[in-house]
Amino acid sequence: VQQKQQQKIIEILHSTCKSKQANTKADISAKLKHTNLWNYRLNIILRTLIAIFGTYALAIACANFSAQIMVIFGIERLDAYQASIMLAFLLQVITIMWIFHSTNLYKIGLVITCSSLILAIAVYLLATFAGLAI
Amino acid sequence: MRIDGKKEGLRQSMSWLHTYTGILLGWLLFAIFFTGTWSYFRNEINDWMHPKLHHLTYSEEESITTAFNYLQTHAPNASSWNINLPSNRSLALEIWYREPAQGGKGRGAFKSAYLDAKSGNEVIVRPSNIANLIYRFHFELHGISRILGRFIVGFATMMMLIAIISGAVTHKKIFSDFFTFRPKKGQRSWLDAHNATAVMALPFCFVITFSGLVLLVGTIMPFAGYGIYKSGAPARTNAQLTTNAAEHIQAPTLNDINKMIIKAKTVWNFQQVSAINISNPNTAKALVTINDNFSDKDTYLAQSSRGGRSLQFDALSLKLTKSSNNNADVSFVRQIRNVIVGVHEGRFAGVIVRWLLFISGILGTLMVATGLILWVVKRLPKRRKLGTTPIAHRLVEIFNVSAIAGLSIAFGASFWLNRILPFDLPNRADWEAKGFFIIWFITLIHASMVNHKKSWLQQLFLATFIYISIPLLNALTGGSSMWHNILYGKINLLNIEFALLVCAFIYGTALWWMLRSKAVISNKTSTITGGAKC
Repeated sequence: VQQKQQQKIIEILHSTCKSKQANTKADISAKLKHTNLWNYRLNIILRTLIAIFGTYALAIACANFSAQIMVIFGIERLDAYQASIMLAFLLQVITIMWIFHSTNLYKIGLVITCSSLILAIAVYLLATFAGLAI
Repeated sequence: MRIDGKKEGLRQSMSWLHTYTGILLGWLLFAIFFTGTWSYFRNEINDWMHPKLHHLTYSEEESITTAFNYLQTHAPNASSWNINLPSNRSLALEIWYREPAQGGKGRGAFKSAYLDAKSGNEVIVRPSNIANLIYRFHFELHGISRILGRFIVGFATMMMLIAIISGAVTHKKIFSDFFTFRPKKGQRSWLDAHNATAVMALPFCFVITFSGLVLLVGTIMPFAGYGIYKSGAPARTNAQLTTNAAEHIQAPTLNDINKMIIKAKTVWNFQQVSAINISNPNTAKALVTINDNFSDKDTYLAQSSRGGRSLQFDALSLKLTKSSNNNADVSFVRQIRNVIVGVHEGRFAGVIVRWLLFISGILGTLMVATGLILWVVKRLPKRRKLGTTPIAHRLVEIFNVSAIAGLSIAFGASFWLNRILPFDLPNRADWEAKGFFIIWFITLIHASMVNHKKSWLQQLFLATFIYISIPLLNALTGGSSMWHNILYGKINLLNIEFALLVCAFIYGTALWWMLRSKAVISNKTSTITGGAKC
């Protein structure tokens, strides 16, 4: 009798758990339904724009800067140019992947803009004042 | 990317990225891959398109003599001469030369001709530009400005590279995927096919995509070298092609060229001279470059722009001035670039390597195609639940059919157009190109008007029929038959016709598989419904 009672208790517990799970699932789906779809779309569009234009600017800045560093370290200009563009393409791919992996859009925008700007300024200074561009 | 903004794992986010980079540019990528794959047989397609050349066979010696005499008579003042000798990749004896620049500035007009080495006369062939169209479409599209076309292709290439890397990240068991194929399982089967082709062609696809970006860098990243070059990129070093009438002397003579060839063959072990280039002929600055079809490791480490080994001689002293085998001066970075670009262009490749590149290209093309189809198949349950087909899904279906089967039909049909269009049609080569795009457009209309499955079946059937019929068409319309090609060892024609038959087999298999799956489904339905089928 005791065993039967225990089994009944277990069954009751199972059924309550299931109903709780179902409730939480329903809550989640309701929340999802209420999530602003347009916010999501805007987020994707912004990420795409950063991925296209931001990473392009970053890749160019990075290619120029790494080429300059290589020239400073005595590597031939043509070799520095070719090595830097290959590196820049790989960097661009990794950056685009990071953009779509990261959750924080502000962080993405800030990192891409700041790093591109800093590199671009460095390139300009090195090209103009150090006379690296011929 | 999750709609609720919560963080997700790398694999999940990469899966999302892989899907959308793939679907948004998948059709363009398919076209780029398809045309690029066929570009490995560009010379062969070009020869196929000129049936008058199929029956010509010449020895190396008579070809050189005829070409040299023709150039000496018709273009003594040209700034450069090029002689392309018949080889494994080219049937014809072809010459081209650049006329002297008007007023000594810029570059002169470019003229070319096919020669009959026996009679010394020009061979008048039907104007055809399909091989070139396919090749150029691969990297600059058609009907838009070259720069814009290259930009679009460059952008698509970058998306492809992202799709490849994110796809590789998405896979948990990349190597077991390679050996897994579960047929008749709907979405699972398509996913397995996509994985298997992707894993098989992964190294090739990565190198080909990355080198594609490197090749287009001058257009897509014009300021990548601003930091070290004021112009933004290294200056191109074009050979100075100038002629000076005052110093006109006959250099080189035919005898000189023969001596250089003997030297190339004995000292450098040249197997088959494939081309001879003479810059500034009949002047004291004349230089002769002799090219071989054969490439070795040193050649493609040292250069990527031309296939095969090359030796450059001074036409007056007959001294060797440059050798392609000399890779001592080529840095490690340039060697890496030369190798990856060399693989992309495949100019060094002999018959076996060319076939390997072609098969890898087909695998890459199939990878894109299965990925596009997978997108539709994956969303079928959702559509069944909805009870209707969303417009976006229908558009993807239509574009899938016309991009995959439609492009294949258009390409196969261009071989037919080559033989159907009248020989003397004004702007014949342009009409061939227009025909290609018109047929492609018709397949799009067809796909949009007919039921999705029917459109696949009909277009695959047509593609299979067209590709199978091409060797027969060639034999019946003045070209050489496959049997003749086998007998006389015309490897380039055999290559293109076998390649077309391989594609016919792929389309035929897909068609058979679709018909079979349709039969299985209808059998199952009839069993379930029982007597209702009456």
